[in-house]
Amino acid sequence: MMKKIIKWELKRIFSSKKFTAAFILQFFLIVLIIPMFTVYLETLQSGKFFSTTPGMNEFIPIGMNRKCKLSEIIEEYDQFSLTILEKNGGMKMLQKGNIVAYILVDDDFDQKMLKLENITLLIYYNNSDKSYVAKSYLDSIVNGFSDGLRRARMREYDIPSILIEKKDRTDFVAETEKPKTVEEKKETVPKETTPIEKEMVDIKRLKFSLNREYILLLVMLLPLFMSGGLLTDSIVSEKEKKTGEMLLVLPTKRRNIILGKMLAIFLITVVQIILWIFILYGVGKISNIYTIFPLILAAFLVINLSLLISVYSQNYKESALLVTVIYILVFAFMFGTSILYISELKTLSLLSPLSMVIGLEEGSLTTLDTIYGVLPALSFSFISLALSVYLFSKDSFYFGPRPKLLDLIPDIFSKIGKGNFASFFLGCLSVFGAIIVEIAVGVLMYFFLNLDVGFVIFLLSIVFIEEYLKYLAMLPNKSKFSGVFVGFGFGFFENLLSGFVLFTMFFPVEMILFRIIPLLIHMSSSGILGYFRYKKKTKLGFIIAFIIHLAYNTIILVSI
Amino acid sequence: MIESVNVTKKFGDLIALNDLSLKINKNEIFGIVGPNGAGKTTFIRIVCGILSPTSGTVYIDNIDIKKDAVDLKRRIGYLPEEPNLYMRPTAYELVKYFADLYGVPKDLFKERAEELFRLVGLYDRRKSKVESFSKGMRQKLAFVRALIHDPDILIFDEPTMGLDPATSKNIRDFILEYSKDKTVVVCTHYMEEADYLCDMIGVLNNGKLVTSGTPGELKTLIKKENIFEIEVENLEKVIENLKDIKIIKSKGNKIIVSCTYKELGELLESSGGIIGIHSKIPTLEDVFIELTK
Repeated sequence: MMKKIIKWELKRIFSSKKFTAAFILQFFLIVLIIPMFTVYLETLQSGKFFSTTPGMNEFIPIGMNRKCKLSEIIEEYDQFSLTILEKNGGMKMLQKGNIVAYILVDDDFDQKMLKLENITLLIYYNNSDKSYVAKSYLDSIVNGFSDGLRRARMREYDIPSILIEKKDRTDFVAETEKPKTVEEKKETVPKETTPIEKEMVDIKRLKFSLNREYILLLVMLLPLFMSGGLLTDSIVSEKEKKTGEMLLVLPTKRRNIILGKMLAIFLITVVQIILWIFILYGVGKISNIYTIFPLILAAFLVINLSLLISVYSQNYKESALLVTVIYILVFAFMFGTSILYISELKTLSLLSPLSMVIGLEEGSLTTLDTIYGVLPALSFSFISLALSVYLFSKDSFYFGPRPKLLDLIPDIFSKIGKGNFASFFLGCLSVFGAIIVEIAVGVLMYFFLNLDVGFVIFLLSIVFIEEYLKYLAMLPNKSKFSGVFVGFGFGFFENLLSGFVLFTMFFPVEMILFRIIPLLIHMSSSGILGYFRYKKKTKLGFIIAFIIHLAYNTIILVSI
Repeated sequence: MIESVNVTKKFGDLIALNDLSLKINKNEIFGIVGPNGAGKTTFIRIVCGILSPTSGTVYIDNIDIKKDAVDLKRRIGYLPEEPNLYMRPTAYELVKYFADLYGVPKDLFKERAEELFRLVGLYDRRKSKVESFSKGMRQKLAFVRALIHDPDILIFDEPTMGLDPATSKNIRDFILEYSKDKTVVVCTHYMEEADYLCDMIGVLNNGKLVTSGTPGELKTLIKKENIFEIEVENLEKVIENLKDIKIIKSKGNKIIVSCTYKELGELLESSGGIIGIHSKIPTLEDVFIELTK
């Protein structure tokens, strides 16, 4: 039945003149946004409009005598236009002002780097205005590069040492000419250099301001706005025109009707996102095709919020107002939070799925980032979806005077049921059992096994013990959601015991997020186990729950 | 058989149905009559599975509608008060969509659609867009949509509301013709329609069943006391002398009352100025007005 509803909705939408007009408008807007944004950036970079940093004026032409790891890094910087030139030619071009800096590296630069040996780097500048800008950036790049290598070396040999000796020279000649007075200024890498992470933040900030992520994010706004409109049209207009009454009489569960409608819109949005991403990828505006996934995740969240608004609203006017307000808030949150990705609050930024888009484009998204990025968005989406299904099941939201939201709370509690509350408390209690058993197992491992083997077995045991205790806690409750409530209780109480409150005093934002994710993991793993138990496939559920829990613990340990 | 057992439906503080119990036998046309807000539509929506009762249960062939709503809904053909049709598709596309949703096989659909479109007189317009249809045509199309899956329980909410007399008659005849061997619930506030169509009638008021019976039985409820239409010179004087006599209707200088011959004699004697008296056979409308006062 749901498939038929989806098919019909798709047919209705595609035969609608409103949709066709909106889609064509959207197409042209997106097609226009890309060149417009590019022109805007170019204007910004040219300084004709205004300039925020000297480096954003235009490309800085520099030369280098050979390709090496350093040249690869420099090439990643959009500010530079790097040309490989042999020394004599390079010097000539530097004199003529064709390039503003010339970097001379040893032939065995890469080998020395791999062996963590000292490297000397000569950088010539031509004293032009741009050369000062180039110097500023090259200092930053070389320091960052050197710092990274020095850390590697310090880790390897446990000794502090300068790795790259950088010599800047402003006096230069081509080899055919006699050199002028040579005064070498020796610069050593300062002992208290800026941490490499800080360098990366600065670099990313620049790249972000210039680059394609914003185009990508702007482009995705349109299909999402359109999705909200379509969903409102599909649900609220059926309420207003009363056509929905004929759907409610159909031989299907009520939830299938809105799920069918939601999925139809989601499908259209996904297709649009895929289409646009492929186009942008094709024209070279984005570099990572996998940005499709966080965008789809963002779309899922926005569509579910729109669904909740549509189900709640009594008429078009109300839904339009709510959609506008909520969209402004959601997009402000998504964009605002995603900007934190380039700051030190990277973990917090992952509350917004758009941060993953930036992470993928930057190539800096880790598995843990992905978990942090996916779980909150997915949780909010499913909470919105569950609330929408719940509200849609209430007759009053369709036919009668709409009840006050506060009046629904007792009803929601009664829907949750005593059994599920009991599961929550049993989940809390099972934390005590887990602590006792895990300590006992830990002590046994310590005394009877060597450290490495013991640690692996201990890691496996923790997951097994926790999942098994949660399984025992869910036994008295026959509901398919028993696992979710046990997991919630377990994660909640574990957070309390692990000093959640105390930690948040010192690491407020990151720690809150750090503790929310395990809570969601406990809810997910136990939820799956509980559902499979309900379906009488407990073993399979246990295996899946075990794998999820183990995967998360392993990722956390590896990250630490 | 449809059986409602102590059904109550509340919307917030509003009680739409109050402990309603009634039985509708198989293959009968049951009319539900009552004033606006009596709970007629709420009741049939509960029977259709559109609304859930706050308390009480509805059984269809002894199956609780809450427990097996999906299967029971397949057996129901519902015509709401407004046709509630999608406007963009053609009549044929619309009916096909609902046939698909009800799982009507393709070959059977073609056959049934043709039969129903011909029966309601829309065969030649089946390829036209719904938005181009008149109110009467939309109502007929709504019939086709409600019947396309060949339900054995038909529920019609105000099937002729807002239609001209000729179309209304057309639709009533269609209901009579089509509903042979089917259980039909007709919700209406047109008394002549209920009288014309129904085997049994239930009168609802304020969410409660006031009474039920065949149209004839209901008429005898007030026939026992006789109905008189009295034309008088001074209506106010007559009303003053009514005592326990029930007024069914009064308009201009005419008053329709229900009373015994003795009471009538006393009234005439005390009032004077009588222009004319007619003994009146009660209609369902009289019953309706009397019972829902």
